[in-house]
Amino acid sequence: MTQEVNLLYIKSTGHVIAAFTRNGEPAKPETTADAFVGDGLHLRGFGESPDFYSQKDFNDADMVIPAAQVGIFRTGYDSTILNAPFTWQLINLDATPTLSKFNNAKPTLPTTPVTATPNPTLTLTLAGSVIATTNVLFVLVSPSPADPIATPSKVDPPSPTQASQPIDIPLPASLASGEYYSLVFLAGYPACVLPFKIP
Amino acid sequence: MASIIVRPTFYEGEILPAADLTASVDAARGQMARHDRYVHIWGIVSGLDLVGTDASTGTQKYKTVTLKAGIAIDGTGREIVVPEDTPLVASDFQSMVNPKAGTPAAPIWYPVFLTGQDAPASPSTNLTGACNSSLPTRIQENPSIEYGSPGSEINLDQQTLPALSDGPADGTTSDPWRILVGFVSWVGTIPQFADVKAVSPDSLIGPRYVGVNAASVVSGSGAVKLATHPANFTGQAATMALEIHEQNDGELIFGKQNPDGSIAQVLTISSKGDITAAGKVTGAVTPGSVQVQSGIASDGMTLPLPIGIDPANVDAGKVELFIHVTPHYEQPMGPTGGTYFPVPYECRVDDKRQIHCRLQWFDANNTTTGPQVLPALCDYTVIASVAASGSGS
Repeated sequence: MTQEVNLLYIKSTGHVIAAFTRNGEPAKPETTADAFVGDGLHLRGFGESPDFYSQKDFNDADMVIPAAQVGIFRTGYDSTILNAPFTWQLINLDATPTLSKFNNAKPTLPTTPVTATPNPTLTLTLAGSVIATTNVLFVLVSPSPADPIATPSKVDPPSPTQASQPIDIPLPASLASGEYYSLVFLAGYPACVLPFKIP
Repeated sequence: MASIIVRPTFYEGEILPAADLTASVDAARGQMARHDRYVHIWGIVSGLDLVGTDASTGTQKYKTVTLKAGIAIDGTGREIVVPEDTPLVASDFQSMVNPKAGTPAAPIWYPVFLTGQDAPASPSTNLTGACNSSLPTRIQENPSIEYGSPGSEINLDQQTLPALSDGPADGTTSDPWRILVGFVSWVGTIPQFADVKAVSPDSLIGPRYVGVNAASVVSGSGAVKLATHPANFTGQAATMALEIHEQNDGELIFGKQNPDGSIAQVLTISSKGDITAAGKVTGAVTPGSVQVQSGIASDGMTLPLPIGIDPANVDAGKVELFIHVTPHYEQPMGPTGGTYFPVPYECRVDDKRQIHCRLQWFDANNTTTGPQVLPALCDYTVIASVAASGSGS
């Protein structure tokens, strides 16, 4: 009977994105996730299907988180974590990481995903606002099999506190025309998938 | 210049001059120093811990620092005895190194050294010399506490050794040999010590303890033990010990040392070569062996390999994998709302050992929309066969 669960998580934000058990655990936990990520961790069926352009897009989407963004954490066996890793996060990453459910609501996505050129902007909205400078990782997944673009950033709290807070997603000006998805991992908030088009 | 060793000798009727009596003492002292210098390795013999005690001015916290009593042998073979606990004097420290505090997150650590220095004792009051003058009849072997700038704890082995035939240094005619006992930091706002550490966080250098320069260590008792501290050690660290003994037809045992000096053995090697380990044995995988790993894993990740199997050897064909995966149906995560039931969509491992395990979820009450394909867990078993002529690690 395995006694531990290994979690793969976004290093900067704590979002858990995969889990596994082993009947034979090494005496010392791995310090990197390289052996379990390969070229990158593939997220399929991630997010919610209504957020995608179509059901087929949702079913076919294969979004890769670059290996450098993924960490590993070992904890005691808990089937609720193993069966639903996406619903968990690691908090207190700088000191003693602990597992927690999300207390904040998923950010609200814009209704019109088409952006303007030549300087496209993309914004999602938090209900309330962050209370301290918060890590966020944006991963842009292109329609072609090009490498994903991962952009770690930080979100500062507004002053004074506001009822809602817009979060701008940085988009490279060089994006080719096509349909894209942006994965947004904001520490403390459920991850979300935001589709957008570059005309 | 090194010189031949001489020792005094005496004859009946000889008038004994003071120099001959002094030479008698020096001959024995020199022999002991050469033994300590060359048969042993210099360092702390016992005690000499640097300890801090919390103190406060009312508004500012600081520490009083004490060097505990103990004995050391320096690199010249000189014995240094600190007979009683000795407080460090903050004003001495301040005058020697003009210290800076650094920041709370990165204080500056100054090394504290112990040296030994000869000094004449007070002249005798009840004996007089030939010219009616009083002279000392004792030499005090004084311990002395010195401070250095950060980094001066490096290269302590490169201090100047006496000539081969010399006795111990007197600590006055040349720079005294420095023995590191710990580190202190400085408050700065008040002239007091802020903290004390045995090992510098910057140089990772700490006190050094005496050793033995020996090609063989032989016991006449039927057992030889190596231990990281004496059996009565009261520190927080576990005392580890290794013992070779003749009991049970000869064994080597390893483990934590109990307060009574016995060893809580976790590893035993018998004289026949049998190895008994209480923990896991990991390391190089034996050629021709089979290793197994199993468990549960998420879709999208790379399949875990048996412990000790190097992915590079799998890629190089030195290790062959036999993999079996099936969907793990215990409480699978399905869509919310509706009445969904799962059907396997895919469950396989590709040539990069990436897991593809997804379930398609059909809504029993809504047949107009297609299924949602969601990631799932899989149960996996990996058997790794290490080539008989290859290497598994």
